[in-house]
Amino acid sequence: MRKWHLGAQLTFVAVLLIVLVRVPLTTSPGMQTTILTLLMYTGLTSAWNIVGGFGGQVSLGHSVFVGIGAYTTAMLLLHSSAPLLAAVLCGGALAAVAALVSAPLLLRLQGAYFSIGTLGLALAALAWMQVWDRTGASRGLFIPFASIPSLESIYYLALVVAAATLAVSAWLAKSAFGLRVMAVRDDEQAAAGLGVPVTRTRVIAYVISALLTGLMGSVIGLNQVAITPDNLFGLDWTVAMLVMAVVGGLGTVWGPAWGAFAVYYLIQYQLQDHPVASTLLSGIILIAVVQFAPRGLGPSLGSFSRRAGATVLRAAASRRPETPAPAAHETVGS
Amino acid sequence: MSTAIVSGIFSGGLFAIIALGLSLVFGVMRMVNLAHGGLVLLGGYGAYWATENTGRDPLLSLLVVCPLMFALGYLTQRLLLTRLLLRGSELPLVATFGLLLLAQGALTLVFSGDPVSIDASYASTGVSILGVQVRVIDVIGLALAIVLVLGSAAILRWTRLGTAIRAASADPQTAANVGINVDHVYGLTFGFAAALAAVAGVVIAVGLSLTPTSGLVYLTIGFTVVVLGGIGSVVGTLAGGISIGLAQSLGGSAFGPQYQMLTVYVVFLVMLAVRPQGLFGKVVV
Repeated sequence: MRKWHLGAQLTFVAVLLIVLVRVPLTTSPGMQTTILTLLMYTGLTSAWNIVGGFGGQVSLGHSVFVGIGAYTTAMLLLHSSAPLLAAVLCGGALAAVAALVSAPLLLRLQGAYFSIGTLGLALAALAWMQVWDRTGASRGLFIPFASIPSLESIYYLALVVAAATLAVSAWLAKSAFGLRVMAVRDDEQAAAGLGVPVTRTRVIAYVISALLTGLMGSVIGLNQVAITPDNLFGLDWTVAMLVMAVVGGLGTVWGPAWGAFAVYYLIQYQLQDHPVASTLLSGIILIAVVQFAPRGLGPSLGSFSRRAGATVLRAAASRRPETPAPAAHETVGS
Repeated sequence: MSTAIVSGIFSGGLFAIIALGLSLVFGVMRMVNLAHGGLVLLGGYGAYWATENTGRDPLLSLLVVCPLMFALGYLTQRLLLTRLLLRGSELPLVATFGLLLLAQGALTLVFSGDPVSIDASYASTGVSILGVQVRVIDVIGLALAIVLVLGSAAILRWTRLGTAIRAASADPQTAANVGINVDHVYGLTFGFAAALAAVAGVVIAVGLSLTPTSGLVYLTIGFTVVVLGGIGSVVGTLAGGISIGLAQSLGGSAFGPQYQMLTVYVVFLVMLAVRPQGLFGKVVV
């Protein structure tokens, strides 16, 4: 059963990758941009999920890493002859360094205090970027036209970063390190008692998350061209990551992808001419998910389909379709 | 310099009022209410609507707006948040964030995204205090802050309700065992917080201006004050508010007006690093 599950997952991933790799060859530029945005949100949300989901620490400051990635890339392309790929990698690296530097301040804060601290840091960074002359203050930066890659290249960069982020999540879900991260989330003292280095585990997870967020931030910067504090350091990015992760399923591998699809494609994209309706609906969905499906849509859909499947199978096996076997329903579900 | 100090102290009144409800909710329920900025805005817009439609004094509109906000807060807590609190601290955090988005969307829908403010004579007139011109609304703000902070502290300390709230805060299980209706107490606390947020909203609507998207700014100012004053310390919010007012106006006068908020956030981060229990708080955790 388990082996079959793994095989099905790998097949699904392979097919998905082939489809996504072929997108620029087969679809219109409009569709390509939509899928690019979806990849960006999936990558960001999945990176946030490493700290917020697997680590159980709700960060309200991840916009900082998006901004650092984008600004670093833009500065390098403006003021040096660094090749594109190096500029993108530096964006991720500097975000990771920022996480490492802020870790002593933030990671000793527990629960809600961590959220407040990261929010304060994000607003401080935004306020700083608005007055820092070196990066053009509130006017921001323009990436030189000659260094902007084609839409296709940006698409493949986003695909690689998103795939890498999901791969890291898959590794976290199975690996010893991932188990340590989740153990610290579930019971810090018990984990420490069993010899898990609590602080080091938290710091590493935080830095990995920042690195991946920063890499995607670099790609987002390339795509936006005009790099302003509000566009890149704005809290909208954090809001998107939090909402999508919660809607899709905190601490799961595929949840962020589900969440990005549900929130971006099904709500924001369809309502792009009605931003107010989109905000309202995001709020309602967030409350509804927390209230009725606190594990997120991904796991809830998964267990619903498993339960439904099991019910159908049992009904078919017993050849008594007139009794839908509520007892079986419950035992399989739990 | 003396101008900056005096105007900083007076603008601190508003910050203290913003923080008071946040501090109460956090102190009693250990719940981070990300919707607090939304409550401030709802109250402010409510007063704006009432003033526009009746032509009466905006402070009088509080007599209607505060009870309404209290009811809204009470119902939100009882019907939504208390249930989530039982299942951990992440879910209420996310739910209150959803409420913030909801308030923001609803206000944009009704009042459009443009800034609005309430015209009142005391927004433009000033009085001279220690040789410094201070707007009357800022004096009102500080006076309200002192009354509300001391009033809340007195209610918590000397009334039956205050005792029940403190008991529910210290140990909800035991409080329930001795016959305190903890659900009701939680509802009242959130209701109070919402009503206090409405007061802040009116002061903002008269003295500054309201935009539907500024909820997060007030939330952060509130948190900064709470961290500075000491988490769960009611009297601390007054000191915290005045400190933030001073930091903002001194930072602005030293480096330029665009550095006002940056100074506030830097003070916040330094406090978090050096003394997370706040100026007056005790070490918790």
